[in-house]
Amino acid sequence: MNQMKLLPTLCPSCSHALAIKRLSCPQCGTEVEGFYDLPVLASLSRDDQDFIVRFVSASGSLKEMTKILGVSYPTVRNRLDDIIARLGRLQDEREDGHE
Amino acid sequence: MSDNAAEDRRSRPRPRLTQWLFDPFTYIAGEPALALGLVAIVATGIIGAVSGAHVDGVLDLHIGPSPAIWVVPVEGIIDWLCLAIVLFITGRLASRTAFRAIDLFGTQALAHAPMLIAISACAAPPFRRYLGAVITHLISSGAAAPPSAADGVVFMLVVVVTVAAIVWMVALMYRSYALCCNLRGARAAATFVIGLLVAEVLSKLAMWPLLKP
Repeated sequence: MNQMKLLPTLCPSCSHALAIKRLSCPQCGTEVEGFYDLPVLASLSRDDQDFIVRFVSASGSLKEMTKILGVSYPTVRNRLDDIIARLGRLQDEREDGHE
Repeated sequence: MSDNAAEDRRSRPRPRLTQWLFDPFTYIAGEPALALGLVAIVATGIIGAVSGAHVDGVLDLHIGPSPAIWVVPVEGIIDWLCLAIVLFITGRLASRTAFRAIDLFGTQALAHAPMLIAISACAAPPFRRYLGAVITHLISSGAAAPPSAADGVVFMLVVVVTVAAIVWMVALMYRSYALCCNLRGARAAATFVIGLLVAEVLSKLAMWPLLKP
């Protein structure tokens, strides 16, 4: 089974946020070229993305997340707050970059 | 979702012993922590009342006369409430995120559990004999018989255990505060130290009616 590659979000040279230049259809091979920002959620770390997927799957219930992750309520709450803060910073950086 | 949740439970890493000892609130908070903490505070108080040891301040453990059975548990409750209320206020002022009072009050109660070890150690008869002999020796200016060496060894062990337990308790109080209020670094440390000092003074004032002769 192929192991899914991690999507790189930062430039390995200068650490700036990467953007999408080319997209291709795996079925017919059509390619679209341009300059597209990565979605903000895709710019988060894999761990943070996993957390968000589980959180949404748990209907946004922090109590359910405590059961899934086996940690206390404030631990889950802090993790969510940290992700919210990171999303805010990413959006600010993106808005600054577009100005 | 239920299959995924079951899979998550099976695959998540088990907490290490050091995590349970020094960072238990990652795994336990809220009502379970409050229930366990209150049991620990009351048990500490009962052992203290029977053996004549007082928790007469947030950071205090003193040997004295045995009071009524309810006095030392009430001292423990006052210590817990003073610190939890003060840290709730400093947390609200210092934290940028919302937090639940039950988590802070529950984990602060459970953070008092090491005092149960300290007060149990202080109830050891050789410790009390040695302490009594030293006090008599001092009062009678050396006229009384010197305490035995074996009791002296136990005395030193109890002192080490007591100091270690109090350091452990303060470390747990800090972890509880930092986690429940989502604070880190200098901001967490500075507001915790201020809160601890204010709570120590408040607890002394609050239990003055209990302890005055």
